[in-house]
Amino acid sequence: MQFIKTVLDLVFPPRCQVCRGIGKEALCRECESRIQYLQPSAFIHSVGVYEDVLKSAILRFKFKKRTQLAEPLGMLMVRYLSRHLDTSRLDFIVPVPLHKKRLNVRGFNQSELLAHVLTGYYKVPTVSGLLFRTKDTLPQFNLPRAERLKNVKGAFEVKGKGLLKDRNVLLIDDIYTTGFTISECTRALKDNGARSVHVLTLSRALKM
Amino acid sequence: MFKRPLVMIAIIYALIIITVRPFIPVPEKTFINNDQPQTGPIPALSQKFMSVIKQTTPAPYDALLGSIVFGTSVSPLDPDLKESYKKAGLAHLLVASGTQVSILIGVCLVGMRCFNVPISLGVIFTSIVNILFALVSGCGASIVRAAVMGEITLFSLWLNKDTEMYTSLSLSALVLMIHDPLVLFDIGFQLTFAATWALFYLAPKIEEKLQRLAMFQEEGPGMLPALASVCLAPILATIPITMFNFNQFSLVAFFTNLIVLPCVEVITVMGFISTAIGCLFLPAAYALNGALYLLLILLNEIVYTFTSLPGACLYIAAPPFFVFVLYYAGLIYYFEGKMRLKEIGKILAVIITVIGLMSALAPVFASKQLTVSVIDVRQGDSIFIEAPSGRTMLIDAGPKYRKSDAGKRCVLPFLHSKGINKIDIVVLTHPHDDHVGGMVSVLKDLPVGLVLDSGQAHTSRAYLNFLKTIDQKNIPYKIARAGQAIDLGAEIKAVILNPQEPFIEQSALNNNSVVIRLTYGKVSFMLTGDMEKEGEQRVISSYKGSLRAQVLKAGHHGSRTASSQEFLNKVRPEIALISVGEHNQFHHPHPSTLKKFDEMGIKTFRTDRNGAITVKCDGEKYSIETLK
Repeated sequence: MQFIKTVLDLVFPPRCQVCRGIGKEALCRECESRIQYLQPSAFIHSVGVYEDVLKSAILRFKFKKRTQLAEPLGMLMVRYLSRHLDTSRLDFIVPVPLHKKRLNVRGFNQSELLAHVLTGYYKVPTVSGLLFRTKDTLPQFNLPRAERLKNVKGAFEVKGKGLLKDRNVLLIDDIYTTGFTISECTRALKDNGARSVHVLTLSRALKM
Repeated sequence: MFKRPLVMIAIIYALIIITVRPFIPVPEKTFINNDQPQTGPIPALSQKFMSVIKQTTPAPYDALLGSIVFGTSVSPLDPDLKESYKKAGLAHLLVASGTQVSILIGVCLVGMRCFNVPISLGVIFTSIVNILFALVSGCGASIVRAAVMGEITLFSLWLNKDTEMYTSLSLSALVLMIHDPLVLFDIGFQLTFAATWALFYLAPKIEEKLQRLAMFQEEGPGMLPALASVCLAPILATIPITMFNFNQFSLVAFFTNLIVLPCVEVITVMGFISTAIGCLFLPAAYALNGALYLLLILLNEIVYTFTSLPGACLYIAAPPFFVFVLYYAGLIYYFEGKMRLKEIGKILAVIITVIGLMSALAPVFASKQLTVSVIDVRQGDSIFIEAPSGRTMLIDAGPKYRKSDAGKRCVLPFLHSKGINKIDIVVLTHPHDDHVGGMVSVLKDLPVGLVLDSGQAHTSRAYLNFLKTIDQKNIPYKIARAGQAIDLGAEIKAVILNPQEPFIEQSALNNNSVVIRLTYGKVSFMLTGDMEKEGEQRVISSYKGSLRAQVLKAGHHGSRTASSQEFLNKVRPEIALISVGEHNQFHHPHPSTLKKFDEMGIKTFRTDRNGAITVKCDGEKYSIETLK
């Protein structure tokens, strides 16, 4: 495996996915330093603004399938979390799920990959089978605000209900826009007995 | 550099090849018969494709369509047509390379996506098609380069990786160089890499500059900056290579490319489709190629119109190597905006580039010398004279055999390498084949001001072709007679000493050769053609002036029938030039003649031993340069 990776790195030299510089990490330091970080506000935790660096990184991560970005982006979340949230009482990390169809097309769930990075750091398990999408919803960012709520309304359900009883859950997503997706997920989790649901998203869209 | 290991490996490998080159045995060049297409590793398939094109496209245009789609190595093209495309700066159209590969890959991938084929299968199928195309079109340097880069791009799509231009270029160069290290010195190899680099690196920068220029216009610039930069970048990057190897500098290249490129894209796409469909169902190909036929006619018309413009393509003597290094350095420096003191740097870069180009053009203007060159045409004669005034004269053009034309093979390359773009006077000393053979090619290639002929009746095919070409090209034609003077500018006195009427009857054609005595200041040249003893006798008896000449072109290739003692006593040459082929069937030059020269202390130079011999003269002294 290592050999194959070395050969591939020879033919396709690693680049920063934002500035396209050669021989750099997937997210190079210069680009990382240009991220606009956010301060925590009640219940919603977002690492940074969905603009410039973070936006292009997320777009390349999700749509160009540059999964090597999971590590550096996940570490941004770890750094945020250590500073602003008490992680000692967390029981589960739950990524916002993709519908099965979308998962098949993309091949991975970006939120899940991010959650795994957190798990690796905090040793809190990521549970991705728990929450799932029942409706194949349209991508939220394409919709006008009025339709977004309708789009995700009742789109999420929980499997294995007993598991969540009195547990503290950290919900992970890549972009927070209107909060409809997040609130639907939170409600599904709480309805099934979760004691507390904290939300951490990688980015937050300020402009609509 | 260290971030791109493959680039480093490729550069180191190339440097190793360059250093050990003198020790690599150069394989004897096999004579390539241009009439036969090289079919590549899969002859059946290329022949199948070519037969579809041949059946559906009318005659001269089938070969043209074939070369645009599959390259000339599969579809041999009329040499004259090929030369026209070269002069128009469009030779790249006739080589299978990146254009075809990118179109092919694009068509395949879009097709795959239409049928919802998973990306992995799509990539595998497309890469098979890609490799097949490279094999079918004959595996030249440019197509292998394009195919390897195509593969890299395909796999990057599949594996979600980022390609990097220099790494991809290096990998394809490595593939080629490992297969054959000497490919590094192949012109096609150099051209394709320079042009591709230009498309990736220069073109975006040029486009940016053009966009900025066009910003102030009311209407948007549209597609023009993109198209112009794609045309201009490869030209800028390949100028030194074409100049160095072909001595060619096409002034119309930018404009022809600008007009022709979109048209050729269409031809390539439709050519692919019609060939593929034609393999399955021939009548369908008729319809498509019928439409293509009109485009091909249009293409040829554009090419001919541009190449017939005066000065469309200049021949320039290759400047020294460091000028090219300066040129590239200047080019990169000009476009590399990040550097400090960049404004000063840019001005410097422009100056360096201009100086580079000027010094390339300089030999065309500056020459206060008389040079007389005996070109090595094997067994035959061809002498080129450049007067201090810049006027030029060519005496004879060597032989032409069935497959080897000294005009094309020796005389024209020699003239091109000197940056000669016109010949003022062409002299045919006498109509023997070893003097007239190469003439047709020369007359066709370069503008000629005047033809001087001995005017002897002769009916060989070569001589009749010579007369026909003069007629076709409407070149002024005069009969040379003793006593006439030739205008080579005020500094040079050029007198014709022979023939005179009535003609000498013994060995008539040779003895009635045109003989010229050139004088520049204190130095004279006696250029005798194939004149033998009888002619020499007559010159001695009839010419009133001095026959003295420091440099003698020995008559009749140093045969013992020429250079009589009496003539040599009159001329008293210091050196004798003998134009002769190695192991020739006439056993020229004759030992007795050589002995005579030796006894008189005349130094001899022979084209079979010395290669081309050039005598340079400033009116006081003369010096001799030989190739070997």
